[in-house]
Amino acid sequence: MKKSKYLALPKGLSEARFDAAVAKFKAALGQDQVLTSEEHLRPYTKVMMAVDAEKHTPSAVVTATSVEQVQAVVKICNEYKIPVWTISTGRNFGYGSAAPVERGQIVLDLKKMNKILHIDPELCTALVEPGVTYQMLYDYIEENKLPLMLSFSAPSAIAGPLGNTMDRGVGYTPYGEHFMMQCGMEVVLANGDVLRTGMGGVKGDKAWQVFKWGYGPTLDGMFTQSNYGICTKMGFWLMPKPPVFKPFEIKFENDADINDIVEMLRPLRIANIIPNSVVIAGTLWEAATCGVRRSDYLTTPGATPDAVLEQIRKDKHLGAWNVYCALYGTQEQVDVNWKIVTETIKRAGKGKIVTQEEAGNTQPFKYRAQLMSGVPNLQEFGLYNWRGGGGSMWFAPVSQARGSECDKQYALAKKILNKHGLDYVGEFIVGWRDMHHVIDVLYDRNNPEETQRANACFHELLDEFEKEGYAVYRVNTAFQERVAQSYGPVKRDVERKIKRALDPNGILAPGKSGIRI
Amino acid sequence: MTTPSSDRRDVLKGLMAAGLLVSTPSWARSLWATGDAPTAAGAPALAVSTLVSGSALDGAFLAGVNSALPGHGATATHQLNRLDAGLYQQLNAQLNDGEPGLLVGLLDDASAVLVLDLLRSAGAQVLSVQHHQVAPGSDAAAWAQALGQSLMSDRPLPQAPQGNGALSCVSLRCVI
Repeated sequence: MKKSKYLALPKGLSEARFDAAVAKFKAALGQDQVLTSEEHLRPYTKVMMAVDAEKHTPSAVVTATSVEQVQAVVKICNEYKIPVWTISTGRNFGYGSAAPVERGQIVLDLKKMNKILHIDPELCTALVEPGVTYQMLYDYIEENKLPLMLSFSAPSAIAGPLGNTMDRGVGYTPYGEHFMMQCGMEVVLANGDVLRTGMGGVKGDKAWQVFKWGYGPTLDGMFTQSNYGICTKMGFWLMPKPPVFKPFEIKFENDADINDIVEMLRPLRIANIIPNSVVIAGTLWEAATCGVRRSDYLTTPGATPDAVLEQIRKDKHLGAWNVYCALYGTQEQVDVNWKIVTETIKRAGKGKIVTQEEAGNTQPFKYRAQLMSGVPNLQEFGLYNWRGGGGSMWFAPVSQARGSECDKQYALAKKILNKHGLDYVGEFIVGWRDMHHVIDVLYDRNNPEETQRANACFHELLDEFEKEGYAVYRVNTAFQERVAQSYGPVKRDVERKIKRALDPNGILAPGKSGIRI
Repeated sequence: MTTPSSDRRDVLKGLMAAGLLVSTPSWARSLWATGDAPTAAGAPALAVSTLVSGSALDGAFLAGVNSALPGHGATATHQLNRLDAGLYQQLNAQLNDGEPGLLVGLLDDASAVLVLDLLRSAGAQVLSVQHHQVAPGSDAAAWAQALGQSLMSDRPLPQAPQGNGALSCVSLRCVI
């Protein structure tokens, strides 16, 4: 069989037809904006999931610099029935990286659409293009001395607000539920139409970034975690920078303390005494982010024994659970809330408070404080050095913010991970009433046997959690079809009908969140 | 044992094999000129940058890289230690400054993830990315040095010493 000059071809398309499509992409976008060589595509094929990278190899990468070019791409894709996987910065790593959900899809990389279109320091709003990173926004805010604060996910310095929000990611400030803070989108539909949500369709309107709902059905949500359109602009709200920021940590000694921690914090969180997304991080998360590697303690494969975890805690002065929160506001507000927090902890009779003054510049306190105050950093990438080998899959079930739920989820996750010879490296992120339990399934992707175990482990996590009534809020591309099943056939049927109506040729990211025509 | 000029020719052969002399003509021409007449006055130097992340093997690796390009002086080295965001910003600025060059690196897993993504966004051509498990010991330094030489000349990468307590790391070679 003749070897194709392409790494992969779109499903059902001959090489000659793809040649013709590539020629049209080059004519529409420019020669340099269409990449097909192995050397250019190699970094787009890198995945951290426990599956063969071949399953996620793109056929080409195209870059667009304008909405008109995005429209040109979808027109060609419709003509040739080419599926297109769009990325903004492509930096969601353990959720799938920049690689497409299915082999042969072309990647539409919007990195060059990277303009900060507008920041209003009085109304505290922003409007950005897909390629804008949090670091770019942070630099802009600092250079212009704007009294604003960002909220972002941990890969803050290199990830971007549009991609993170469209994937319904979370951050660590009072504005940490990012989709809740989104206000207005511009979306290129599969037929090339450009939709502006909310107030964006009203000629001459100035409220696009301040009033989310517009008129009639509110459509923004259906474009998140979906494949109904390509978002080319997004508005969102920024938090006014508070005059006083007081980060603190509460260390707890025992695994079993998780129940009491959540019961103690939930009332403070719901009442906004503690206004930010509180993090409750397990020992190994903390250890990895302050530079500890598994090989520092063990040379044998398998799950890390509890005795070693205990030793790491002693050596690095870590708790079994390490809670990070912050207070924001005027000095008077912070003083009042600090009194409430400290008295609550005192009453509980457990938990040791560590203030910023006590922690100094030590990690992981430093990067946690930065995340809670909108300062980008890359410290959390230390997770990838814990076991090494480049394997990472986020398992992120949600639950009610109840101690009993967290206790149950923690025990179940640890049992399954350890059974497969892997470690519990997890944290809980406390929302207003919910809990995102985020576990990094870390494994050596270069070890085929360990990769197979990680894949089996992830399946078992999904299956066993589902039996207990839990589902994940987000998942890597290799498991999106599986997770879509958890949410039931009626939802899937509605999603398919919407897909058929908006994208009859099924060109936009077929398979994303399990949605196809 | 290879001579400096044969090492340089290996670099050029490797780049030609990868099609880079066609796809990046301006700096490839510079390379060719440099390779043909390494001692010619005013010949453009090959812009080589190295990436390391604070491992015990950094010194040996850098020595290997430099030995493959004698006469060119020190390469520009990015010490990407401690996941410092500022260091990655500097690297990103270099990757996007429009100046072509060759990058070779030996990095820990976390740094490799970050670097590869910056390379992707900068439109780099990634010629090789390879994961290694390197057992500590005297053989490790020799391996790192040989690795640096091999990456510069596009020769097959040496086999890392195996054994208990192996350290995970990633080598890469790319042009921007």
